[in-house]
Amino acid sequence: MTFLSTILILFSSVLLLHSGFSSHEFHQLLKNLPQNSPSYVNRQLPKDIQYEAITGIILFTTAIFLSFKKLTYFPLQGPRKLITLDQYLQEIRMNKATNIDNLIGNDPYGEVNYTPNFINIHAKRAETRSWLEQNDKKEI
Amino acid sequence: MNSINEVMSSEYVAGNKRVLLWVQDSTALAFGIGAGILQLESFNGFAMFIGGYLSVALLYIVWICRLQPAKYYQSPMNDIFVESFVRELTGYVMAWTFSYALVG
Repeated sequence: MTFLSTILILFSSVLLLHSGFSSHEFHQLLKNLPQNSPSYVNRQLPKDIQYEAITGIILFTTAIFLSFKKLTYFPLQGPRKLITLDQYLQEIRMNKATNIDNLIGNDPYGEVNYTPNFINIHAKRAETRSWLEQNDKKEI
Repeated sequence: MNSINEVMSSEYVAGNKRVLLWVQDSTALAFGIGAGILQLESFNGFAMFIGGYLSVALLYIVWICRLQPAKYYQSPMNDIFVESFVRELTGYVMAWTFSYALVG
């Protein structure tokens, strides 16, 4: 949810609450009038309360739509640059849906493809040791 | 070739539906509260619901779907206009009657 939409939702809620209270007061006043008086027969909510309520609804709807953010990705491989797509929803067609995984360098089947049980741990340790030795030499 | 295009990502199908449902739920409640404040009665209230529901759906297609709802929904007309109609109508009527009774 973006900052602007949060502010708008709060503002529109205040508008709706205020118009609701004004409408309530107006109807309380109406109840005290005799039923045959012209202002009771031609009763209509004052225009400013109507406009306030309608503005509140429109602003609330706009705020809901403004809360959407364009899809962004931070790639795991390559240059560390935020990728922004020109869309708000994920595409559902499988060949398009996997584009995102390709963009960020993610392997959705990692649980299957990555099999730590089969790792040659001694080779890995030797590799790490040699890498550490080399880097230590560089630092000195 | 056709069969490749028919394979859908079920995760994103469900995710997009959830997003649409959230938009429709929240706006239907707001429209209901507005209808109660305006003290709409009988046909006017339902007309406001139809107007609000359709305008939110159209705005969703234009703004969020970028005029290409087929990219994000399996059957766009059904998913956006029909499937959640009764759900939103009941939510709207609930909010409408609630605020009508509170205000009036």
